[in-house]
Amino acid sequence: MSTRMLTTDYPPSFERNFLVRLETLIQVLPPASADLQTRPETDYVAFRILPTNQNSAAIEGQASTQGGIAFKVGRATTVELSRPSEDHFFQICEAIFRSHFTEFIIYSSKGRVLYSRIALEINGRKIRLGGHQLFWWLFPNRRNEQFHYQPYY
Amino acid sequence: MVKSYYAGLGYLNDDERIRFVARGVVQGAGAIGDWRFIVSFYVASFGSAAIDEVIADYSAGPLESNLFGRFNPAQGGGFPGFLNDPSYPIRLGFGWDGVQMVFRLSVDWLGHVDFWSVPFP
Repeated sequence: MSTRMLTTDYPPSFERNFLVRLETLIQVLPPASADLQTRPETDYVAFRILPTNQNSAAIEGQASTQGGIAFKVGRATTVELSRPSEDHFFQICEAIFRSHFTEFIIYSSKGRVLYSRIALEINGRKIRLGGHQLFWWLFPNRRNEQFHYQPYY
Repeated sequence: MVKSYYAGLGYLNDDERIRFVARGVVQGAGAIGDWRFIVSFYVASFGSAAIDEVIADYSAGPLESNLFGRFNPAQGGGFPGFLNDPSYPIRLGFGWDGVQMVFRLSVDWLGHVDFWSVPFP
């Protein structure tokens, strides 16, 4: 992964537009509040937003024309978004940057994530991120964990 | 019943007997011209073929499935399936849950439900 500006010679595409918006998003944050690492490939771009505050949630994932936007927030909350939901992704990022929130995770006895949930507020509306295994409540010896995150700035 | 049927025929003359038998043949053949019979025949045929096709497609796996396929840049290939296309806000197909490949339903605004784990080649 690299932290320098990478959009200069990148061909016009969904990936390039995504990368430009991502870089802009990080640039408008207060200085030294987060670090953006990206790895642009021919058919997808991998990214990682690392907060300076260790108690904030990192965001990492991949965006591509063929795969949409798949990313992970915090420890284990994974989200898949369609390409037309690009705006929604950036709204989620902004909400993560400026909110306190809690990540709820339920692990199976083997350490597999059965349930993960993050609740955020975007434009006065509550949204939930995450997903769950079907019939997760039937798994024996589950382990519940909560992680509290602080804003980036 | 069968005995009485043949016993009944014995009282008929040839002409009546032919008409009696012909009526039964026409009644049995009636289904062939019945639109409900034709529709149900084609629906059953199509349904059976469609189910076979879906099963075969699923069995092809995440990288080859035309319906449920998943683009896997990290694993070097694959393409989005018809029901798992990233243009749609609702998708059904293979996806990654951390390090495990799963078969899941994803809805942009609600999250995802993982049905079962899938071995990834």
